[in-house]
Amino acid sequence: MNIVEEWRNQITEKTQELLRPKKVIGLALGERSLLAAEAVAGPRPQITRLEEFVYPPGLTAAQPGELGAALGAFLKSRGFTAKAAIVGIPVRWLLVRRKEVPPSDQATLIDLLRLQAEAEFSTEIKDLVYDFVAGPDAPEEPGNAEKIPEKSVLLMGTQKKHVESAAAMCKAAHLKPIAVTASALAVGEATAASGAEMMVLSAGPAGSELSMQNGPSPSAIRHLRAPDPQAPFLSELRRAVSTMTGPGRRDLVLWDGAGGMDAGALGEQLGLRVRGGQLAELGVEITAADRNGEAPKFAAAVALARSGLHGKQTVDFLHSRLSAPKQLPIPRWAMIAAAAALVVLLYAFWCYVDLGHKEDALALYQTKIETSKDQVAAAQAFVSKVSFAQNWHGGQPRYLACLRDLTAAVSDDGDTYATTLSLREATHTASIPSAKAPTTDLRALTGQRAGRSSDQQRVLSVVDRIKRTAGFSEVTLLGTQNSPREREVTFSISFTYVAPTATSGG
Amino acid sequence: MVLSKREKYAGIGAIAAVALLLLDQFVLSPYFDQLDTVSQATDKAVRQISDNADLVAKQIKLEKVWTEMQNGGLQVDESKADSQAQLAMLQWAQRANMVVTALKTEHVAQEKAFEVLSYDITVTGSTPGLARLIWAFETATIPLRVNEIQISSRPENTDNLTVRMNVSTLSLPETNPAGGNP
Repeated sequence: MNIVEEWRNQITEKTQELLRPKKVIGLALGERSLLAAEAVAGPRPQITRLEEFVYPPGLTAAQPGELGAALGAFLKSRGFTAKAAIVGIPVRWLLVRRKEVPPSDQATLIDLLRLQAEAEFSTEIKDLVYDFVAGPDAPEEPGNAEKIPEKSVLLMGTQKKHVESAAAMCKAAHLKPIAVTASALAVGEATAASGAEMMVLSAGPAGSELSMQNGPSPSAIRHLRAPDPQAPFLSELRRAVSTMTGPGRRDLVLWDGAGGMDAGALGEQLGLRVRGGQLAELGVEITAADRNGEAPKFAAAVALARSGLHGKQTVDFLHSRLSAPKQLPIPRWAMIAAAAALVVLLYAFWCYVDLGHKEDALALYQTKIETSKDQVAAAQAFVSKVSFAQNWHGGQPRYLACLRDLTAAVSDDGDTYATTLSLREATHTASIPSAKAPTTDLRALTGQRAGRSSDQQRVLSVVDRIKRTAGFSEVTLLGTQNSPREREVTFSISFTYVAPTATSGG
Repeated sequence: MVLSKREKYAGIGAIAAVALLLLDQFVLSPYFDQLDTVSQATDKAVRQISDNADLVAKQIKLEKVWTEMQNGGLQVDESKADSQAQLAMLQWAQRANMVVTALKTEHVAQEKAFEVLSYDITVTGSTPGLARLIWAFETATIPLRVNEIQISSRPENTDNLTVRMNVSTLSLPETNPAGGNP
């Protein structure tokens, strides 16, 4: 099994566990009545209701609609509240064959058994539903330990009409049929759940059912006559036991649904250890009303309800593993390809619609731009005009600020003085300002200062002080010239000045 | 003609490759080109709408400034603007105790919707007087702009200053089609 299948199985199991009903009714069908038990899920399932529904006069299991309606009313009147049911059919309705199969995986086993079932039963009865239950492994052959032992299975079939009737009856009773199995299988599995080898006999007034259990796995299952009259029953039972038991198999559990059977006497007559079964042995807790010693006859219904809670039935004719696999009208690859093509088409359609929406949005934007074109043009002209005129709008004394800061930067040392000072707008390229000229910052001025000082050192000191003063940048000493006769140095300094935004003049 | 499995797969692969090529040529590439074009045009349009909105907001803000300018003395007549500027400069010089030695109109030029009148004015006086004069020029309510100042002292190292200034004023001729209020 590859990892994908493993994951799929795990997911399936988890899903089934979540979807499994918490309350189930087990319905053990009989010829003239059915037994009902309601089980509630818990660490140990609780049996809350036990009732026998005797078919109304004139109705049989072959009339599922009417019978189901009557059953629904009966269950409601007796306080049953579960909405799911598992139906057990009598062994009498079954065809059973024991098959030895080679060890194989489940899928191969199913294919093999499907072929065998069609070959085995097709000539006898039409419209059968098959399923199987795995029996105990065959013992190894003495002296040939290397040979892998074959596996035995019980191949079972029942008429489709029984299964359909059971399901229809449940639906008419407003119950969801979760499985249709054999009552004897459920009883045998629950009784021998501990793993012991034993025979399980369920005796009822209309017939008896005997299964040979190897733990929960049955190795044989038989329908027997009713216990009354006793002599032919004992004779038939003895024959059945002799064919089913081996040397070590000497235990029999009796579920007395007929009433009045003595397990001890039966054991003496058969030469077996026979004991009467108790419902508590089935792994359930009984909270239903005392049935005055009749409780054992509900063993099949209780076992069915219990298996319904557990979720896995060894045999389920409603969901048979041997039913022919459904043939898809379209190959799987074609379905995947179609799904992929559909996804691609949907995506392509979405892309087309999305592009359409984007184009619509663009058209809307462009319309908006077009309709506001005149307004924007007018705004542009106005803003341009006013921005231009703002350059002549007073209120920001930049020249005065420059003079003030320049005076403050050059301290009066008595030996250094200015001869000329020239200031002009930094963006000013012609005598007439033009809107086309660069207008980076109207607060910026360029200047050139010429002056005289007593020595070079003082000139450099002036340059440094201007450089350190806020607002001045690109301060450059353009040149100095010594005049030895007058013992003076003439100098020229250029700079850029940007007036602070909030200037106080005066 | 019976094809082997290998031939079948090769054929399917070849058909798929051709189909993908055709799909790309006629569907995918044109689609993504169109998507790209639309996205770029949308971005550009959104930016333009945003810029337009900013411009209109700026226009609203500048309307107040424009009203102030008009009330402050922006003339529609060039000669009025000229006389207004000259008169103001002479008055400010007088108040600042500066002597105007020269005042002449240098240029008249058309700029945008405006006429720009430029003057050269030469004054003499002391540093405090010069400061008062520059203050008056730079905080004037009439449209006036100082373009250049040249200061020199004669004789050197005295407070006897000669100042040459280049200033300009504006007028907004009414006849100019772009000159009116929006």
